[in-house]
Amino acid sequence: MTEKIVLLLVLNSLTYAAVLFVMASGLTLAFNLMRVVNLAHGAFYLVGGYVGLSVLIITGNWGIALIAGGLTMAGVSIVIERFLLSQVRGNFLAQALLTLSLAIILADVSLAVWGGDPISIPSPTFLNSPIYFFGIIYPGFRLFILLIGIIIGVGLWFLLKKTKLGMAIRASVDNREIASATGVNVDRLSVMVFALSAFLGGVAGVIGGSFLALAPGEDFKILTLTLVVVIMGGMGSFGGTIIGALIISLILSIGRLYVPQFSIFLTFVPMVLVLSIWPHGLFGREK
Amino acid sequence: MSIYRLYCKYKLILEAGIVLSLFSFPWWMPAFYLTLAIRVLFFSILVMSFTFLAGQAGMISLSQAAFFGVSAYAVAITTVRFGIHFPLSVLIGILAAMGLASFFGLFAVRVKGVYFLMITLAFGQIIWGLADQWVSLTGGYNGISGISSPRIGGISFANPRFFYFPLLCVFLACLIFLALIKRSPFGLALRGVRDNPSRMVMLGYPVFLIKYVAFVLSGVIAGISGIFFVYFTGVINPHALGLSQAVWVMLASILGGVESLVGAIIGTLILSAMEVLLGQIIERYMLVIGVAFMLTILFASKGIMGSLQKFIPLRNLINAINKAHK
Repeated sequence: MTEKIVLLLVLNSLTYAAVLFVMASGLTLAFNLMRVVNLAHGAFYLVGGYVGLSVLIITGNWGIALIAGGLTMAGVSIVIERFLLSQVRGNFLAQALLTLSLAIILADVSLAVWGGDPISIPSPTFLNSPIYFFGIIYPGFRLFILLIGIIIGVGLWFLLKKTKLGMAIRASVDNREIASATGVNVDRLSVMVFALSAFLGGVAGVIGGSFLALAPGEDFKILTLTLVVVIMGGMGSFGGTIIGALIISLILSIGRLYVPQFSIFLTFVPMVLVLSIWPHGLFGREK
Repeated sequence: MSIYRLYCKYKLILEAGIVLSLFSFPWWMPAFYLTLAIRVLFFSILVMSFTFLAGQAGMISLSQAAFFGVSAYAVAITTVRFGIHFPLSVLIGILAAMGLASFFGLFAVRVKGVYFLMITLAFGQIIWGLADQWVSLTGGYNGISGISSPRIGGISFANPRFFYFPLLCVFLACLIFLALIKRSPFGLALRGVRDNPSRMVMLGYPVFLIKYVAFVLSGVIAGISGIFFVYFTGVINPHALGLSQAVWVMLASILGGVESLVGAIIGTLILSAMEVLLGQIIERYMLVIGVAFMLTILFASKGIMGSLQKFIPLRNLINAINKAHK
């Protein structure tokens, strides 16, 4: 019996880790290149999820909803980058505060459009069949989410390490001026990366909205967890993001099962432990 | 004679006049405005704690609402659940804020800038999560209600007229205390750490300790504000220490001008008045707050007091004229 519970816990935390990883990698991506701590990332998640829901109701196709949620947020983020963030470029604190104001605006707009009741995105029927797995029954859809998380992770790794675009991104992260001098259009790259980051936020929203619920307040809840992941793993490190997401989601799953009244509070413990030894997180660098 | 010179000459009289008129409020002000004045006073204490930390130490903290909420919750829990009353419950409240600030400070103070913002946001949200989820102690989403104001020697402070005086005294004490700290060698050291920490280290200042003390101090002041809040409203719920509250505080501070303690009061006054006026007209209050916040950051990041300095014929100019006359 115990090993079944352990297996269930591990599976639950892995699926949740997938969502947290997609969120945190988006945040990290934008931070690396643009030094923007995007506090509207949680709002991207929520609005992306809601857009996905509306698209799903119209088209009936979960895959289209997933892409639509991501693309809408990518579009929104391009507008934000071009017209707002560019006004305070170079002032990192002002940029962070600006995204915070956007988070509040987006949260209130989504409350006006989609209402205040928790809604869940119906998961695709063909994936809904339960899977028998080492003696336990597990919803196939949640394994599919894990698969999406892995695909996005591998995709990002491939993009950053194996393509010319990724090379340009990494070069600009290390040294903006020199990358720019070698002919990389860093400004255009920034817009693209910010859009990709927002795309990941929107995708995470559709995934998260399908096995959790979308409701006002979920945006800041997921933002907090994402920040905890990123603070713990070290701002700007993809490896740290994966490890942070795994640890936090495991603790959340254990907490939800045994001490539901402290599940959010418990995530605090690993963060404080890590920060007391490494003030900038596991793999963070002081810049 | 310029207006500014007049102001300088009669500054003390002017300030005494303002303070005296503040003390006269309860005698002639309608109840509605008195309630508003009380709200402005206790929220000003909270916003001052933020302004002090942000303006003097360069630390933009999203944890202030958590310190505010923790002391309020401590008072509510000791009063309602354990039957511990006035002097002791207030002490416990302040100690709770102080304890939390000393704990958070250990981690938050070691990083700066955007990292500090992020960590204080995460810390604040975790306290919110605790208030929201620990239903058996905090009452969860509904919070705790029925906290009655203390009654001392036959005077019930539940009456706003009586509530106002101790609040005003504490408010002035906090204002004067922070203004004195600003002028003290400690305040100077704090600004030194804000502007050039490496140089301060070289000069032998305990940089971590200076920032840490400032952080804990501002946490305690935020806690004092929370105690008045919970006694006045009689209710506490997670909303009071949520992110929207933290942002409200930040907006009030930045709107007034982060360098000035008076700016904190002006910012609070404007936002509270806006809240009352807009609350009656439209439903989308948070949208207005968000847009106001965005516009302030884009166009007036120095705030009202910061912008005023541009328009007042500058102090330097007057000093120069004075010197020329000598």
